[in-house]
Amino acid sequence: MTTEKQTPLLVDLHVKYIQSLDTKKDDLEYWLTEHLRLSGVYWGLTALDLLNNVDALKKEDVVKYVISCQHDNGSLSGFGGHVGHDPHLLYTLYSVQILVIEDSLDAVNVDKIVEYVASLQDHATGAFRGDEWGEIDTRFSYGALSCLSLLKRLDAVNVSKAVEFIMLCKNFDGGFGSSPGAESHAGQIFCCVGALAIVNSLHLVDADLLGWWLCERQLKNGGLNGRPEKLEDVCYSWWVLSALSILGRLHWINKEKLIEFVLAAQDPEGGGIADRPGDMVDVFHTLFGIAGLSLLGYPGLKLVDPVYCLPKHVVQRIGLAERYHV
Amino acid sequence: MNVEKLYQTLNKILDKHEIHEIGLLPYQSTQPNDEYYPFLFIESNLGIPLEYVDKIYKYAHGIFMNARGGIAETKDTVKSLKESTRCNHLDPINELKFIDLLFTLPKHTKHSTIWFHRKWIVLKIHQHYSSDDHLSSWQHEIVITRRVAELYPKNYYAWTYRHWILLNISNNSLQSKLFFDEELTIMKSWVQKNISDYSGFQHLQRCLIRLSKYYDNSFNDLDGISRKDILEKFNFQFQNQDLKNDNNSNLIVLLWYREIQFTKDLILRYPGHESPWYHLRFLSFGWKWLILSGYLGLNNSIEFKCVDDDKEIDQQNYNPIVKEWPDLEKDLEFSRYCIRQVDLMIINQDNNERLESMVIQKQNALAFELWISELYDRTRDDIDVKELIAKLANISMNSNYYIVQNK
Repeated sequence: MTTEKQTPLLVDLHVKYIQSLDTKKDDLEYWLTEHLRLSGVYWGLTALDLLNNVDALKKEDVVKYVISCQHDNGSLSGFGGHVGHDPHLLYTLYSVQILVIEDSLDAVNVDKIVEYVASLQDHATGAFRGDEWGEIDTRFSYGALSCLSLLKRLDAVNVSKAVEFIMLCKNFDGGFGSSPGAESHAGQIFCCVGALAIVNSLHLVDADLLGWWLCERQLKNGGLNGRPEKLEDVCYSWWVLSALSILGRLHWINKEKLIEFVLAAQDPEGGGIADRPGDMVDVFHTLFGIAGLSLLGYPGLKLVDPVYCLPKHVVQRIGLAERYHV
Repeated sequence: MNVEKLYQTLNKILDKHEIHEIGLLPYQSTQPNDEYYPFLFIESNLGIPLEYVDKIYKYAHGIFMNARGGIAETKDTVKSLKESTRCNHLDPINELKFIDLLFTLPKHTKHSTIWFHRKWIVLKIHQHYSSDDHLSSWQHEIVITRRVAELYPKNYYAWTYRHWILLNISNNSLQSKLFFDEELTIMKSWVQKNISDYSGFQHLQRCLIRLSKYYDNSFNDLDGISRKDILEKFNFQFQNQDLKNDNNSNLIVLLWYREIQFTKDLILRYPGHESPWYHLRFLSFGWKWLILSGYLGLNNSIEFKCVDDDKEIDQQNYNPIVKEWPDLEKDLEFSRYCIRQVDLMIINQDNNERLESMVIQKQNALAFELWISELYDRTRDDIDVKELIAKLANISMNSNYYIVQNK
């Protein structure tokens, strides 16, 4: 690795790759991932903006598509993962994120979204359900708080109860799981630390203890895993790194080796980034690879906000304060 | 081949037979005159040739969407399944079998929605039976999570589902106790065979907590409590706590003591794995909790050695270092013993893979020393702790953590 010349970030190829995603309608994969179509737009658009190419997807089409995923049904007015799919908190967050990037929140009825998100809080525990059926997960706590914060409507839910639930999911190692008693997991840690940052509660995080655990995720090849003795994966360049960044401890990991690892996972022919070198690329890992590189200060990329997973200039435009670095 | 015909043939198979496993076939192996051509159907196992999957999927997708009232008002699959189950259009027991079947494809086991749907159905079924009959159903659920964990190791949703099973079993009957005991035994054998599976160890931790709670209903399930919390919040809160000295408290201590011995033995037998070391970190944390909350005095080890003169442990043939009564000094001693072993083995080691696992063992042993020193209130200004960090900075090449701490 050290003797080989490192491939740089292949910006043009990645832009082309993301643009091509909606033209693969003959692939089975396209059909099997229908429920993730809206998420794909968020991942792709955010990556494009960080690559200084937000216009590579036509704003009009993007906004029109997002609106077509919204339900208009009283308190169930959330967004589905695709046209005709059920409303769900996660797709509602992705929609709001997309609309914020496109500066088009006025195209939707914000009050209805707020009402939908607020209806998902469980009053007894403070936790959030993913949809009307009641699945509970700290991912949804993040989804709700991030969404409402972007809409400047955190007043619509019981924030202190929400914090109480998140803190119940903290483990002996300082990490967080999906529910009380669930194993610490870097993805859930991003959600919990991010959510606490949004509501100014970072003082509740055991920053040194958790930071140590997060650093232990870095492996010999420079990549990061999400739990002990799991394989390294490019997406943890985001989940682990964003949490460290929010806690102001990014310098605790070896940046050079991680950059090398992410760049090696690029597809040098078709563009896009895979979970690890040699695997098939997808838009999910493409975003988290690029966002990770942005946190690592890779040249030529726009800065990313570690709390909202949005380009920093977008978060600044809507006037939200930087809520990290304790 | 005509897609409508394919769809009908597939439906015929599904209507007539109970299916236990589905597989996608890279090539076609049936003859045109076979009854279910081109599908392969052998002893409840269904094989679908890969080349037809997208055709049938798109066709069935269209039918499903139309059946739910057209594109504009369609519902998601899972929601439709729930509604159909609620209205008794679908038998919940068949629905569970359907999910069992979905879980034979590894990809599906990573969807939290399916696991949640499963919870929903299980609770639905339980409504129709008295709680005495639930245990056998929970046993079946354990079997399913076990199968998924074998198919897709460290599957996060399968293990959290398994925690959920434990939480649903009341802790006041002897039957529940037997269930927890059995689960603990299963997990001990699981981690021995899957030494690098921390998720397995983590579930074992849930079993320990659950059993402790059986012995003493006031036992804290440790949700939301970190190492930092027990040092700062609880150290103070528990001051002057009376020592609990009833039989059940002693059983709790014995349970944890045995687990610590079991884990140290694993570490000696399978060097070079992060998972059992992390588990030992948890156990040392739990041990400190037992001391703080009065289950265990600082000096009652002698008493316990008498209680634990039982054959079970002697039969295990443990190394004496493993049997030491856990405290800061003994745990540090254990770690140093591991390091000496490694140093002896490294000298004559020319097998790279084994050499690497020795280095990992040493890193983990040193990191455990750091963990336990801090757990027993030594700060990073302490001279021994500083020395530890210097050693770690010297051999840990992965992250910058110890290098930064060493400055």
